[in-house]
Amino acid sequence: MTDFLLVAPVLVPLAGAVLLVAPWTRPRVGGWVALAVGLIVLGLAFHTLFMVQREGIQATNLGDWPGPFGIVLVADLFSTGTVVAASLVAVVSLAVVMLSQDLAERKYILPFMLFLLAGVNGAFMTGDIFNLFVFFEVTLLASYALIAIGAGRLRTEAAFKYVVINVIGSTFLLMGIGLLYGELGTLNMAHLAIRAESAENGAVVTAVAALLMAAFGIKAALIPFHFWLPGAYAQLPSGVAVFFGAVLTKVGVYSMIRVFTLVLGHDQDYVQPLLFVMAGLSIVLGALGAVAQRDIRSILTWDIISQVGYMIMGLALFTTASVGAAIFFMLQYMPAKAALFSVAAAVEKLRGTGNISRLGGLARAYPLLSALFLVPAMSLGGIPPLSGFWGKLAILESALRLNNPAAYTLAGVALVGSLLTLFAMFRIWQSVFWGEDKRNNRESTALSTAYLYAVPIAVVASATVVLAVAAAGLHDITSEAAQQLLDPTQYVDAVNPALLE
Amino acid sequence: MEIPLSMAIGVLAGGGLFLLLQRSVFKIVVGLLLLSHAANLTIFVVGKLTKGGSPIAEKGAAIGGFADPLVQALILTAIVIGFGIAAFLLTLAVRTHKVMGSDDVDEMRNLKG
Repeated sequence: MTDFLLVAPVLVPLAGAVLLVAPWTRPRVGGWVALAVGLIVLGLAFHTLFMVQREGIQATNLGDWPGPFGIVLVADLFSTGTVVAASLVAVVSLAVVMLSQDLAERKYILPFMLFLLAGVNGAFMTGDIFNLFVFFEVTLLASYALIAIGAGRLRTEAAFKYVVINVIGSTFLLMGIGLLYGELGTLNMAHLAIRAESAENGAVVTAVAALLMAAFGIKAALIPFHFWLPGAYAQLPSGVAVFFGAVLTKVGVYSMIRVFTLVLGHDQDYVQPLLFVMAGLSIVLGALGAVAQRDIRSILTWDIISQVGYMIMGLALFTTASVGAAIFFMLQYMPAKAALFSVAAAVEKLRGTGNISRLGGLARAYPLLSALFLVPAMSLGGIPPLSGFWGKLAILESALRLNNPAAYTLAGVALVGSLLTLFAMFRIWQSVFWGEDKRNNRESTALSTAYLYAVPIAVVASATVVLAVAAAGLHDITSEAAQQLLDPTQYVDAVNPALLE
Repeated sequence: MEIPLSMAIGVLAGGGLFLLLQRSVFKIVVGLLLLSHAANLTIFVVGKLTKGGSPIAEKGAAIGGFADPLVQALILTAIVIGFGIAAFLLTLAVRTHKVMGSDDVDEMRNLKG
């Protein structure tokens, strides 16, 4: 039998999206339906996480076709952890969409947000590499629609660029998967993990690694594949940007970690040096880009590139500790980034602009909102004792443990990048929240709107504090997740024990 | 058959890339479609071509000589997804033309990182 619990993160949002598209669902009710669906998915995801923690990796065969022949969905600690984080961000993002976007726009945004959540969760859970491609396409089609909503010239331009670059990425992914199947004769990730060890033609596997790196690099916005990101994200509806900024690029990071450890973990000679360089460049150039911007959302968007660099740095170091640190960093980063993008959405709604030189004095007008910005911003900059600090500490420690010059250099680069991130965050803080109010007419301060925004933001912002207090617990989970990735025995055993023989 | 098909993949991918580098929005869309066809053909060729074999093995027959059904299923899936993307791309191209009033991607300079 197919286990409902493992299919639910995909099926429930899909059903919700269909419900929202149905003609009898009123737009006013739609928001609450979407929110309820998000909360159900979140609850189920938490339940699955505790179950996996207690009973080990869970797998289910779709359509009752066993093991490597059918498509399997696998819940290990890495996949369920990311599903929990993505669902949490989705709930917050849906709430911000309801507060920020007007009813006419919302009618189109909400169903696509749920389609997007279904695709993202599917990409996290799947144990079949072709199925990963399919879920990528589900995700991308929903994101194409979300970015093209509205008829403005800028939005159309952003949508066209975004679609073109992502279609190219998908083509690379498809070619890579095709070549991999031709060489190893299977698509099941567990089966691939076993067969890749004894691949006869190493050159083909390397070509596959290159194609997949480009494909996932585009989705993750790693330098040199980052150029599409800032323009596209600046044009999104502000509530949608919360989900895109916090989750969507992380799907690329997730796939990279999954594929380059579990599936192609044996062929590191080609991948590792490239990842090293890409991670280092992303960390520094992303942070420099963030410093140069003049719009809250643009600063936060450039910062994504830098933060993705840290996650890939953990992967590039390729020890159990470093991959675990990368997963830790990713899980604590998603709610923090969602909180920052939500505050940006609130500021855009309250003041009508995100340009930092036209804003000021928000700390006096909206103290609660400002506090909710400051906490995750400091977490992102790596200020102890917040969760971002522990994430960066874990990555740096695993780099220094390696005791080789390349790792030391990358650790130095990471420290510089961290400082630049902190600088970028304080630039927002200083010009938007401190200083004088620069508006000409000051009649309305709309306190009630600010308090409404504070509710969803408080959920994700408090996650950075909770994860700081519970850092040891999260670290246990993520190091176990890394062990499950680097030693595929447990994973293969859960998918089909017969494969191990 | 592998060699002519591989050459066809090369021509499709090369042509797709050439069109992708043009300035016209419509040519870029056609280039993307050619590229995705190249990817589909790649999967077809790597799946070990068989002549006259059916994708179903007879019960009790010796293993071998039948066509790989999985490759065909993969390409079918990829083609269907490709259709969806193509429809969206063409709609977007028409919209772009309407909004921008031109077919030239050099006009798209309003977004700067």
